This record gives sequence, C-alpha cells and structure tokens, in this order.
Amino acid sequence: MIDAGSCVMSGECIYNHPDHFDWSEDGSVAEVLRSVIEGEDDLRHGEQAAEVCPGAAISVVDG
Amino acid sequence: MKPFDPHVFDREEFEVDPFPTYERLREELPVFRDRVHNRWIISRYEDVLAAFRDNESFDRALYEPDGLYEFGSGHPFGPNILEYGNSDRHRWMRNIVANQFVGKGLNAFIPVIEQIVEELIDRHGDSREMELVSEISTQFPIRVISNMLGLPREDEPRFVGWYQDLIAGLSPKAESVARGMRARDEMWEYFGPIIDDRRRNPGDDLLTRLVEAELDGESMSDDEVKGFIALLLAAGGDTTDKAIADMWFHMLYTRPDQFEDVKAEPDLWEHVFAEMMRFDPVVHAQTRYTTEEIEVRGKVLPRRAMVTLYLAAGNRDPRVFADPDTFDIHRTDLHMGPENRSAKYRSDLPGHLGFGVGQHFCMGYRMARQEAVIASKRLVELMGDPRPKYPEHAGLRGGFPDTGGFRAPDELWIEW
Repeated sequence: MIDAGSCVMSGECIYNHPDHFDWSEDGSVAEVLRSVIEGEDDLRHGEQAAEVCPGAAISVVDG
Repeated sequence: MKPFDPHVFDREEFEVDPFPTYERLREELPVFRDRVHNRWIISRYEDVLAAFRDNESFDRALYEPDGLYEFGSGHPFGPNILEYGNSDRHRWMRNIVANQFVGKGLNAFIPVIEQIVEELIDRHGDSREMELVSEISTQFPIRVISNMLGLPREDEPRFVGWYQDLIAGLSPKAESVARGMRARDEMWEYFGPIIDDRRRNPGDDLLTRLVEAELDGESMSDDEVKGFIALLLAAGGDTTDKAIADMWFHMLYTRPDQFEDVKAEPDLWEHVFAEMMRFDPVVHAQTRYTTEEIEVRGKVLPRRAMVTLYLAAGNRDPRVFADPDTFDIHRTDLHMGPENRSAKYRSDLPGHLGFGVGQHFCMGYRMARQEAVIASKRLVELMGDPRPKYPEHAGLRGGFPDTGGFRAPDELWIEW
C-alpha cells in the first residue's frame, strides 16, 4: 500500500514496476494497480518498490 | 538569415558560450538534422521532456544483443550499466545501488559526508584565501562515493586522479582518450584483488552489494563490477564536483547581490542548486537512439537515429521560464525542491531538466544536492563573508558535443 501523504511523486515505483504502480486519476499521487499480492513475483515487485521509494511511502502488509 | 552551420559545435565559441546557439536552434530549428555530426537535435523544453519520457522510442544505449556494437568496447568506463539501455538488466543493476543514494540509505550516510567536509576544511589551515576547485570541489565528492563503496581511505588521492582521467577520456581528442584508457587499465588491475576480497569478506558497503547481487542465480562478472565502480567514481566524483564549483561561481560572479541573501539564509543554497541546474547545468545534453521511426514536430526521424537532447537549451525555453537568461534564486516559476524522475511535482511548477527524466534519471540526484548544499553551508560558516579574490573571471567552460560538455570553472579563488 501507498501512504499518500508520504508520496513525493518521485516516479521510482512507476518506472521500475509499470505493471504494479501508476499515477492516480488526477495525477497527484502514485497508486498501486494490484493491491492483492498473488505469488512471489508480486511480492518481489512490492518489496523492491518499497526499498527504492525515496519517500518511504510504500509498504507491503499482511491481510 | 544565414543558414545554421553545425560546425559551430566544434568551435571554441560554443565551448565558452553555447546559449546563442541553443537559442537559434530552439526558436528556429527545434528539430534539426545535423548532417555534420550525423545526428538529430531536439532543444525545446516540451520536446526534450517528451523524448526523455518516451523510453520506448528513445533508447539510451547503442548496444543491442544482435547489433554491430561490441558491449563495453568503446568506452573508457568499460562495460557499464548505461550500455544496457532500457532493458530489465539495466533496471536490476541500477536498483542494486539506487536505494543507497536516497531516503534512509542516504540519511544514514550524511554524518560521513559531513565528516569528509570537515577533514578537507581542517586541511586548509588558517589561510584566509582558498582555490575552491583544487582544495574542495575536486576532492570532496570523490571521497564520499569511494567511502560509500568501501574503498581504502589511504588510496583516495589515486581515485581523485583516476576519475579526472576517466572523464578526460570522454573527449574526442586522441591524447585525452589515451589518458582515460590508461586510467582504466590501472583501475582494472587495482580493483581485481579488492573485488576478490569482498567476495570472501563481505562488508556493509556498496561494493559488497555489487558482488553479492544476483539476477536469476547469476552474479555480475568482475568486468561488470569494475565497470560499475568506474561509472560510480566518475559520475559521483565529477558531476557533483562541478555542481559545487558552478554554484559558487554564480554566487561570486553572476549574482553577488543574491549571495548576500544566501549568506543570511543558508537554506537558500537549495535554491542555488536548483537554479544552477536550470540556468547552466553541469551536463547540457544527453544522447538517445530511436528504436523506431518517429515523428517529432512534423519531422520524421528514422529508426536508430542518434538524437541529442539539449536539455540546457530546454531549460532556457521562454515558453516555460520567464526571463530565462537571468540567474535568479528567487524565481517563482521553477520547482526548487528535490528533483524526481517523473517530472511531476505537487507544486505544479516545472522542474529543470538537468538530471534527465524517466528511465535514466540520475540516480545520484538526491546525494548530489545533499553534498553540494552541506559543503556550501559549511564553507560559508568557516569563511563568514566569502568574496571573489579577483574581480574578473573567464567564466565556465564546457566540453564536446559527444559528451554533453560538462560545464565548470577552471579555478575559483575566494578570500574572506
């Protein structure tokens, strides 16, 4: 998930993981395209995105 | 009106002051076929930004697995990440280190950055004058990046020489290329045993990350690791070196009036950084290769055409920035905050193009700004009231069309 308040719109997640992240409708924040993690590949993308996010806005959560 | 002569790019007048040339191109020939250098030139802000964003049509690398160009062969940096263009492998390699240059990884490193500035200032002693380029700017960023890599501190003077040789090697002049290749040979020999050691004794540094990273069960070859180190030393050392010198040049000579504002309010160094990156950034141009035939402003660029994006021309586009040829740290039409690779900002203001945009956006952007601002603030604290030692300065110089012309002053004497 993305914390909208911490998103600095760096674009790192969108450029690195185009199938998993995109801009929100009004372009004011990044959002997760596939919020339910299905399999290892999604998890890897999520974790990598969380690691390189300059705003520390992305987190991978259980539930 | 005289036809535009592309030989201007090879003349000294362009090295000294490229902006009249940029203006002519941007206003009259926004998509220009330069037959002399066998390339296309794009120079308006909107068009440069669009090309940076269109990573599908404009690739960074000449290299293709099935192409004619042999990987790593033509470059003094050796095989390096940029030659992988827009591939998944590039993405993977970039992200091995990218997160150390931003956010928490960078924050954890700031005490080291501060310590290195202190050491250089201590070394200066009690004299109340300083030549900034040789004492600080060429010494400081290279020590930061080599420290981050985890290289031996006693070898720092060698790294200072090597990174300058590598950058010289980007020149088209034969003797400069030879200088770059000589440094490359020395570095390749030097780094072999260090890489072996890190494979056996991992540490908490970038070099360990480089040797340990795996893609599909395979780690990088020694040559790839060496190429990566060379790129980090050259890019991390040289560009921030010149950024610091350029910021100080503009404060000492271009806007001494605004330097007074900065001395009174040191956080304004952030604005000096952003405006320097717009007005006359270290890197003026980036090269791309078309992956398909593409139309820009009614002109058709063929597939695999070389395209020069003159981002420094775009940065002076009057359609985007009012009074673009004036250096102004208080301008209200430029995003002054941290840069990003998407070029979308919450402020809705346009950003400068100095770090590129998109896939190949400078991964050291945050670290470069931090280093430049931290060092500049500390220097003013030390000096109190710095001013130019000489009333006149020859100005910034750039290099060659094929390297983007890294812009910097030869020397900068300050007294206080």
